[in-house]
Amino acid sequence: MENKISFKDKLFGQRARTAFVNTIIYIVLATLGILWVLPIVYLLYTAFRVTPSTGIIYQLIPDDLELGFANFARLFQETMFMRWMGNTILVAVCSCALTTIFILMVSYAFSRMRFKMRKPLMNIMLVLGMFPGFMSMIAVYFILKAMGLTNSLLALILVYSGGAALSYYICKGFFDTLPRSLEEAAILDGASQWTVFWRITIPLAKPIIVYTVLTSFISPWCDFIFVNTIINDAEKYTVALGLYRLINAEKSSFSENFTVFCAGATIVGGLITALFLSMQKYYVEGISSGAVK
Amino acid sequence: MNISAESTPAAKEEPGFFSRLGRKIKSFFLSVVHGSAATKVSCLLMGTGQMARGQYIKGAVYFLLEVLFVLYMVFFGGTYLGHLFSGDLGTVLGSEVWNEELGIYEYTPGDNSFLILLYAVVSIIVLLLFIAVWYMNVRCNIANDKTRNIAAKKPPQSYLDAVAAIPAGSASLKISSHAVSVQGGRVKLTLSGIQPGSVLEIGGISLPLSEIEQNVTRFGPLLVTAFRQTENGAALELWRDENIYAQEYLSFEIYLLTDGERVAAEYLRECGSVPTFKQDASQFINKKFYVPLLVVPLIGLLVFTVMPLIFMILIAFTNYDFEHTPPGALFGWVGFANFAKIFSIGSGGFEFLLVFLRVLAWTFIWAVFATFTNYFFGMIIALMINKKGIRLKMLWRTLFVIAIAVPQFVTLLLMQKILDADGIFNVILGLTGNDKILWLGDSSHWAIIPRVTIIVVNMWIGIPYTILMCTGILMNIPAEMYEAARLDGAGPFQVFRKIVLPYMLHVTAPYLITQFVGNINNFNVIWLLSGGGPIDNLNYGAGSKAQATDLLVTWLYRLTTDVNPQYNLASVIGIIIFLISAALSLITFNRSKANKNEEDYQ
Repeated sequence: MENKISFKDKLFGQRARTAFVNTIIYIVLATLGILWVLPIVYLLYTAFRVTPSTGIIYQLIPDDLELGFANFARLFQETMFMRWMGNTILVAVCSCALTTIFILMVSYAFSRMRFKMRKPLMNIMLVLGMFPGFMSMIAVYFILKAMGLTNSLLALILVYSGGAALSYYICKGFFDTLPRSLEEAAILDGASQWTVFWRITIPLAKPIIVYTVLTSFISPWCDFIFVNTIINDAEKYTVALGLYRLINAEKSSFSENFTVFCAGATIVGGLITALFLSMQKYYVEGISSGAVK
Repeated sequence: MNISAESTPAAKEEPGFFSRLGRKIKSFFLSVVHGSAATKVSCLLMGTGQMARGQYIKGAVYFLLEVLFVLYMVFFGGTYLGHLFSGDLGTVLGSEVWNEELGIYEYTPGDNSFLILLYAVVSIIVLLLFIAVWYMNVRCNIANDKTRNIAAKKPPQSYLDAVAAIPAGSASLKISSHAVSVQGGRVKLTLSGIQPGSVLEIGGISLPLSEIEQNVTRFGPLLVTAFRQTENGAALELWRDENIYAQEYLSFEIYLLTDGERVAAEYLRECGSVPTFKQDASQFINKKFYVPLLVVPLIGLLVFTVMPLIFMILIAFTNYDFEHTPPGALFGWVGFANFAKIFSIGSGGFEFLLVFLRVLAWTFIWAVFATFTNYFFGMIIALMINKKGIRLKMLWRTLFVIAIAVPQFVTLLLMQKILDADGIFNVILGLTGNDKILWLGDSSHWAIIPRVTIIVVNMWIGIPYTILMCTGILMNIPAEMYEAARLDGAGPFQVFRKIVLPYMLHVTAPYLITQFVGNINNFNVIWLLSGGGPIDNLNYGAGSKAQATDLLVTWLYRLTTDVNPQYNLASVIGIIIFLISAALSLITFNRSKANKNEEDYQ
């Protein structure tokens, strides 16, 4: 009898404690969640703020606050935003296709094939991957110039996918975890390595392909340093550089264009967020398979 | 089949790198010296040896490559390579010359040191590639010599014996070497397409196919690890257990005793002739499949990473700065003067070494804080979200993930404006009657406020990544471990310290290192938030241009984009950054479990 009561007590105590801990966790998560969302709310708020139309506001709620789509209208009418979007989509699609193909090829070679230069090559590429690309941007610019490619979107595609092979690491880690039995059976049956690569490994690698496509598709939307060096024709800007220039070109441009910048950023951010959230599962799989060993 | 568990790499017995290299070079030259005339001629005129043996396409390709190389060097590359070794990078300055006929000053362009150096780098790479192609060409000839030697000899005695031993209507086949691959110091033989009813003889032991059993049958030291039989034939795979050298397998005589002299004759022909173009080409989708897989990505790498890198390294040894900028001026070699300048103490106006050490120290402090704050807080938040009984997991995760999805330059610029001297934060401070805080511009007390601000903002950027990564991994911690800890009376904090943290650290070590190196080079966060500033009162040296929150990379960037750019000093810093990052990543990755136990999963 005594035992039972104390057990019940204990259970109740445990429950109360869990409820208490959970409440604290909810409070912490809610607070942090708000902290994380606030800047984005601020971005949206500024994007839809018609008046006061200039710069950032120095009051919490300005007297003549008015919300609307005027900034978006300005974005489409006064800037070449549609053009920039088109450029970015073109560059992103091409460079992401090339990058994904390169990474899959290199990863398969390093994961599945054995050859003399494998280990040295892997180490060299690892070291090269640590080399921040923009450090040699001027040299890249002149190489492109010698190829007659400056100020063209093709140059951007080449630069973005040229170094792609360096990020083989995550994909190779994924390939390493794929069971080999299927491939071995195929090779016993006389299949070539090409057949194994194309018919067996690639179909099994869907998560890592989606991850690679996703990350390489997003990067041209975010880079403005390389574009800044290679492209100086406003017609050929990508979204990132276009928006960056919008508020950084001149001293006055910030206060003039900040709300328009936020409108553009909202569109770009919204697109990428939608893409990202829909692919989140694969992203997590990719990032964990590369990191986890 | 887990073969790596008990594998012991024969690293100790292997000779050192240089003695191996020496041996290789020696055997290479001996093979040429003792080789056929075709091989010797091919050393000078690439491809001729191959053509002499009927490999016309291959030979033509080699020959064409040599012709192209010679043309390139004679008409273009040679002069630039000369500049590399002659000590100058151009001597003729561009100048205006009076043209009497037209009555105007005409500009005659002089040498452009930058382009001379760039083309010299291109020429070095072309030269190196050519040497590689030449080596392949000679190796191909040596291989052809060997094939010819084999063809000239009689088939080995045991081969004849085996043929003689089988009943009429059967013959034997020696398995050609490309069915053999060496992995992890073991030998694996893959034989496929074996006729039904054959007898297999390996190393003197012969067994009919019907008696072979997977993982039981042995041919001497070789174990049959896989065996499949269909109506078209059989396939099997053999492993030798102990570590052996690759050549040793060749001493195994492997025969397939099957129908007819047809097979035997085919073997003889294959053995005695050099590979045809078709055979060579088919290697590229089989044993040498890595070549087509790697060649295009590596060319991309060569052009857009290696070449610029070599170029940048060379710039560090020149005086390329705002006073020597082509096309208006020339620059030339100065040896180690730039390194001497960076590491100088108190010579001249400013103490560059001190500036460098300060920037380096902050780079490391920043990298440590940025990496570990993100890691620990991210992990704790992930634990909270994943805790049993917490609802709306998807919502919480999404709230954080949105921060990843918005492009960094947008959020960072936004943050910069929010933290501006007149930004929202200071507006709120003003409303509550406090003084303004220069979140990113206060240079007092070693600029402690901007430094902390940057690290905090970086947490906003970085924590969501950790949350995403941890979510998957935390679910993999075996439930028994928690259970055992709970039975031992451990509280949640102890569970975290004794189980979760060690497990996570163990499992995500490579991720942490990548993050750390990434943070050393975290250009975006610093540049878009503080721009490296503020310029602090400790006088970072008027000429050094370093500012309080500069990392090595942002300092480098400022040196190259300043109105008075100093590319030479920037290159020295670039080399230092590169050395630090490369050393860190090489050491850790080569020690990491992932790299050592590559084959664990396979």
